[in-house]
Amino acid sequence: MCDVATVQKIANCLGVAPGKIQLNEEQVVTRTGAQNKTVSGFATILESLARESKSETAQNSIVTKEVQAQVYQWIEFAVLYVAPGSKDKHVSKQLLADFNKLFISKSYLVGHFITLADLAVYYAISELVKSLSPLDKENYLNLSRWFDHLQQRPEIHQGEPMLNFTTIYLHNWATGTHI
Amino acid sequence: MVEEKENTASANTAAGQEPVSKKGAKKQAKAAKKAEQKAGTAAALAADDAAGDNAADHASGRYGLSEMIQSKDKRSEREFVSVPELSSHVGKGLVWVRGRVHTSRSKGKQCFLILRQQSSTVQCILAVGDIISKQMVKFAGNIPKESIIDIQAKPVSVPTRIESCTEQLLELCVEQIFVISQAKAQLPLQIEDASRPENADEADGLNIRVNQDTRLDNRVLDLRTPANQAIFRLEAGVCRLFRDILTEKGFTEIHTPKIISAASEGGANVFTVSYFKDSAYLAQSPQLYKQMAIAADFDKVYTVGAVFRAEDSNTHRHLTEFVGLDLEMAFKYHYHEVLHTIGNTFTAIFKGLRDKYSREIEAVGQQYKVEPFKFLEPPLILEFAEGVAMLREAGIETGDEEDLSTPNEKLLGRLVKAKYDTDFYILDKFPLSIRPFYTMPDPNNPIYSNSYDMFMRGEEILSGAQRIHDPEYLIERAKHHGIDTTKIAAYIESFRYGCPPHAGGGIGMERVVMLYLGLDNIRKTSMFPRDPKRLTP
Repeated sequence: MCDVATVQKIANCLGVAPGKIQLNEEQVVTRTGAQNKTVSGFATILESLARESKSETAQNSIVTKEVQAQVYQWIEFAVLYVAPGSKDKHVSKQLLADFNKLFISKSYLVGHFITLADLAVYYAISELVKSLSPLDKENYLNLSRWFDHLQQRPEIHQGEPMLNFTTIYLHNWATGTHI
Repeated sequence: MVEEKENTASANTAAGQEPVSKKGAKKQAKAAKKAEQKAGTAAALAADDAAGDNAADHASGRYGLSEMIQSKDKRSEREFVSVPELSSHVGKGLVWVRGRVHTSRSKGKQCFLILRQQSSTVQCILAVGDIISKQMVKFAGNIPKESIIDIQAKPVSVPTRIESCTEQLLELCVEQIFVISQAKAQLPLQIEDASRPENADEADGLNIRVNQDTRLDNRVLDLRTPANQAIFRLEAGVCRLFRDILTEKGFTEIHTPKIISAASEGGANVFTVSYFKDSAYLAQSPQLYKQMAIAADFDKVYTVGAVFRAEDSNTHRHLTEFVGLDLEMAFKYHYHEVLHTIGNTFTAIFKGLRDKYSREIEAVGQQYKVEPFKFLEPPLILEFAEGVAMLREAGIETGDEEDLSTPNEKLLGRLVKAKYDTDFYILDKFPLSIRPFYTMPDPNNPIYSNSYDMFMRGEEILSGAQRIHDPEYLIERAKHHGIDTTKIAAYIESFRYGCPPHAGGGIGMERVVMLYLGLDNIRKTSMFPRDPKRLTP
């Protein structure tokens, strides 16, 4: 996830010119913004983009010190655990179950508004969610709801095909036997 | 307290080498006290018993173990009443009832016994008095569960409902009680446990379940539970409705051989039996013989019989032996004549079950969660291509000619339920490439065939099609599938003497009952199921 493409996507999301994004010799992503200042590291880059952005997401992420701290924690979590974990068969199951439990009573990761945390986790987990069968999507009902909700925003799906979540609404209509 | 100190002192002196600790001494004292009490009550009970046994038994002759019924006496003067009919006998004197002891508990001068007859239970009471003696009450309390008893009793109405029985407004005041067939004291499973509803939500409730293997190993006991009684009566209803509805439509019942010389349907595995010096096979389906009956001018036939599939599938919906309800029908010009007949037969069966077997359905619902079965009239018919389109809309990628996998079938069932609100639907015009060689291709579109499947709650229950009735065309299609025509020479021969166009299909009786009730395992609807791991009972 911590690659050039994702950073560019997030930059587009926030409505900020990405500048020059590349990987340095240590394979760490760097951004060279205005005034030729370079920052490296995914979380740091996200913060620098957010500072330059006037979007709702960015503004929400710095509304209070607590929110800022939580957002940073989530971004770290996304980079260190979610992205690599989503590629492992067993860890990913645990991840999905944990997120599903989290979203039972929350619509967003931090507070009641969209923040960078949601973006980071969204992009970290999107490949994994793409690979889920309709039955899985239904089993992780709350996670699916959050994901579907986010992907509706044009700045997030950015013209890419949206994942199909229509079957999660079967949950109340037709539960089916022997599933 | 005084006692304790004394004991401590004596313990100390008696121990000698090891001074017993205060705690140890207390323990010893407690044990001694307990033993004393126990001895005391035992002596009292014995005295009581002796007094009771010695006391004259004024009820002798009115209870006891009956001698084995060898058809010695006709006893035609005894009129027996069944438990559901008892309510019409309240206040009308004594009646005889035969049933099983469901539970019995005696408390001092009274004994409450619950008598069970198939799905009905009624409370019986014996109280020491003029007619009943203490010994009789004791005898009644000691009858092992599941024993068959005859009682003569007076049905009386009760002021408060007896919640634990099906007969809630009356109880039987017993005057005579005889054991006809005594059950072993230790039962491998308790009927109460086997009948307990599967409420996962009850946190406080007893969670004793009897697992499926135990049930199947002791099927005789397991089948006595009210839910199982109801399930198999419903299954009988399905067969009866199938026969009645088809007979009314002019069908004739036939019986086809089960020992055959060659595997009839491609794909499924066959059981081999030794046939004198040769071997033969057990029929996988009556397909070939149904068609021969049509060629023999029977026009419309159906058959109810065993089907044997040697598939090593250990799933919730496969058995190695099951009952097949098969039908075949000649038609004039279009196979939809048959399709609609089959669809309407199903609708009539569902209606019959709903209207005439509602009590059984309710009884099953006491133990298992039963969601009412919804169906449309006339039945919903979708084309295979439409089904594929619905799946694609939901994000499933499947090819135009690809067979539906089980998860896709189930998902399609739920999509259909959500869109049309029906648990039963028909899928018509399956792709030709996934059907057997004797299926008639669609004249208008070479990709499809005149074949259909029917689904209940998203699971397939019937596979059928228009069969090829022209021998030359049949040979062509067989060659196309790479089948050696010499092996099916007899089959092809039956069409050489003029055969009308015909179509049909077959259903699994156990599967239909399982899906109608929404049960989770086919072994629940097979009385003595056979699967790769089970050959007894």
